[in-house]
Amino acid sequence: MKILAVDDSKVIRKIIRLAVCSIGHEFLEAENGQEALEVLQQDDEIGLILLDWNMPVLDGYELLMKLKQDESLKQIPVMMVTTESERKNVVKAIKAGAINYLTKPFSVQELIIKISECVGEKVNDL
Amino acid sequence: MIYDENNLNVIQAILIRIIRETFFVISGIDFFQVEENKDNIKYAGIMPLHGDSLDMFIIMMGEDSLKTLTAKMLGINFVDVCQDDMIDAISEFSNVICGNLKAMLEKKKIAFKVTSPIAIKTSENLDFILKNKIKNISLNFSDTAKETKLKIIII
Repeated sequence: MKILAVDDSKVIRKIIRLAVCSIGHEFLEAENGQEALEVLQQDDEIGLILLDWNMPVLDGYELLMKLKQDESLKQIPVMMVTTESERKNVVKAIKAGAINYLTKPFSVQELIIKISECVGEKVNDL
Repeated sequence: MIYDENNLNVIQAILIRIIRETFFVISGIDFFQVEENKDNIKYAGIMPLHGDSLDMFIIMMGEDSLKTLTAKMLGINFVDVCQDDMIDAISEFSNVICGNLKAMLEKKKIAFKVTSPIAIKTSENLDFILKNKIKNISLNFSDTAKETKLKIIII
């Protein structure tokens, strides 16, 4: 499966890439919501989006709203990746259609478990 | 509110917990508080804070300490860590620590807003910013081997 990480932090994107590739999925990345839309327009095989909340240009919530309003993109599952202070926004994101969330800091193992939950794989099978 | 000694103690206790938890989760390194940090400070992550009480959060590290933490966080070798990764990492540390601090202090009725962190490479310890501040928090941390160190300042 292709998994798109949208985060303005290069380090966070690298950690996500580590987790995604370690469980045999393909990693794609974007550093803000606008760039993510461009990636999504060029690739219709993306099966999961990991989305940071606070980003320049187009933030996570704005992108989530755009995705859910787009007939061709609204079925793609979205997991929010937030800091603890943004936790109250998780409810807002879930209401808007996000299926899961992860708060920072997280370990690679925690991330693998969350991704596996989102794509319906058992961690023990990995 | 920050100038109340009790509040400073509350913030300090919470900050120590957050530092230990954050770095243990991301790197597996268990930090504890130490009296001083003689590392040659090279990198700083700065988070401006907007509120009634707190003005700024700074995390400072020497080159090897930051490189070690970045390598462990990314699961790569120490020698493979580049400067861009280190700058991005210290910025992200500021973001995560302040995000957690904000959430925990809100429960104690101490509120502030976080903005985007700034990461800099510096040739000097930024302790000088404490000079005209009557009250501040300045903490040093080290791993058990005293090889990886960091300094935290809140004004």
